[in-house]
Amino acid sequence: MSKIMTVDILSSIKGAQPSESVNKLFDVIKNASSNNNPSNNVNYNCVSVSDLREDVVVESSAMEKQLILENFPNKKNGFLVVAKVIEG
Amino acid sequence: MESQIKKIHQQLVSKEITCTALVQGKLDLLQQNTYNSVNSTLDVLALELAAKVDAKIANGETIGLLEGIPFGIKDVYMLQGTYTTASSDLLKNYKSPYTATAIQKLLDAGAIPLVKENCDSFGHGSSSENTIFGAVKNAVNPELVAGGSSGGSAVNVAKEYTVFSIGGDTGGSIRQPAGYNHIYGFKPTYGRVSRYGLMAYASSTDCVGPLAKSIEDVRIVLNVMSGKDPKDQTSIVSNEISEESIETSNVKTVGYFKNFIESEAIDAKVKADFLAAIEKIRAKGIEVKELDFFKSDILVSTYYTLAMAETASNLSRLDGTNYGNRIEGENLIDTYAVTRSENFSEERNAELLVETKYYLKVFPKEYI
Repeated sequence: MSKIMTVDILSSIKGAQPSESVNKLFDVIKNASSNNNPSNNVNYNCVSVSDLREDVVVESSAMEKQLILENFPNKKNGFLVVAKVIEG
Repeated sequence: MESQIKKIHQQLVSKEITCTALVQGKLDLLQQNTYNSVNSTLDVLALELAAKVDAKIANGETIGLLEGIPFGIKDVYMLQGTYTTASSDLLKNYKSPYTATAIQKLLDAGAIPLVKENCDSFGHGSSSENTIFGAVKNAVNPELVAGGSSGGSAVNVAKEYTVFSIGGDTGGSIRQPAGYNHIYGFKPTYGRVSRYGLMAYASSTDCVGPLAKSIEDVRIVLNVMSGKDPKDQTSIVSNEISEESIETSNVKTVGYFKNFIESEAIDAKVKADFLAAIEKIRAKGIEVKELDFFKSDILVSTYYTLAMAETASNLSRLDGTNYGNRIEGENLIDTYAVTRSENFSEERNAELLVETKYYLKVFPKEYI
């Protein structure tokens, strides 16, 4: 396999023929009942919107910050070096 | 088999063995093993924790059931300061900045982590061959594969290198290797155990679960790991499972998937054994129901559509920006492309191509 995915390959994916089994699957999903019946709660294991926690900012520990720095792929003179940006 | 956890707990309490000797013995076995089940051992941490348990026992303090029990961790779980490679080239030098909730709960209960265990890279596979650490060999017959993706975990438990191990199951990754290595593996209800700190494969089906040599050990470990976690909003409140509830099970009905049994792809012996097991269940007076879902090929494509689309999204972060083995290209997009092409295996790249295809079909505008 080529190291870099060429535009030709990507275009061929875009133009790929739809799969019959995937189409059947989408039909099943579209036709499925939404299962909103409140009496059917035997396997009730979804989280309701009102049960979501508040967004909170949690400060990372000193150790966590240190490990994040250690994992950074490229450093120079004490700075973290990011990949080249695209110009224009 | 009897509970290994309870047996070792008794041996520790009665001072028949020391925790240090127990841990050292297991570490030696792990390091010498020829099954490729180990990515790295956690010697310093494990022996430090073992010494603390020994000191407690020497002081006459009571210890908890899991205190001093050595366990293994599939190498896709965060444990602060340890290498968490996902058995991949991309993360071979990655160190966990924090600890997964499930693992933290076990640490809080006093269990001792010994080893980060080999698996299919990022949990993608069913044989534990797709790994940079060498294919894991089956514990029963080393000529065969260990199954996967939690193959290293299953082998370590089967060979008694660990008392229990924590695997991850998306589409069979705990249950299948447990079966291949003749031990127990359990995929809990989604949400029962927090996924925080587990490297995501397909987030909507990923589950954290134990592998052990007895059902009782599975129960003990599951109870400790379960619970709602603010760090994983899909986690749910659950009740503790009692020992009695398993011994005096009042299960009246069992269902099974008739479509898979009718599939031509199933091996004749596997089918016969499965149906024999169904008969045993029926003989106990339990009603057995054949469940009729849509065809098994549609089910498999359902799974792959969801799993591949989710994994494409989850793996998109592995681009060498913040961590991993970045390979610089001419510009940012080139850097992403080369980093991912070089670091993902050919198999992984082929899968990503399929995943992208699904995404293009479902979300064409967003992904073009």
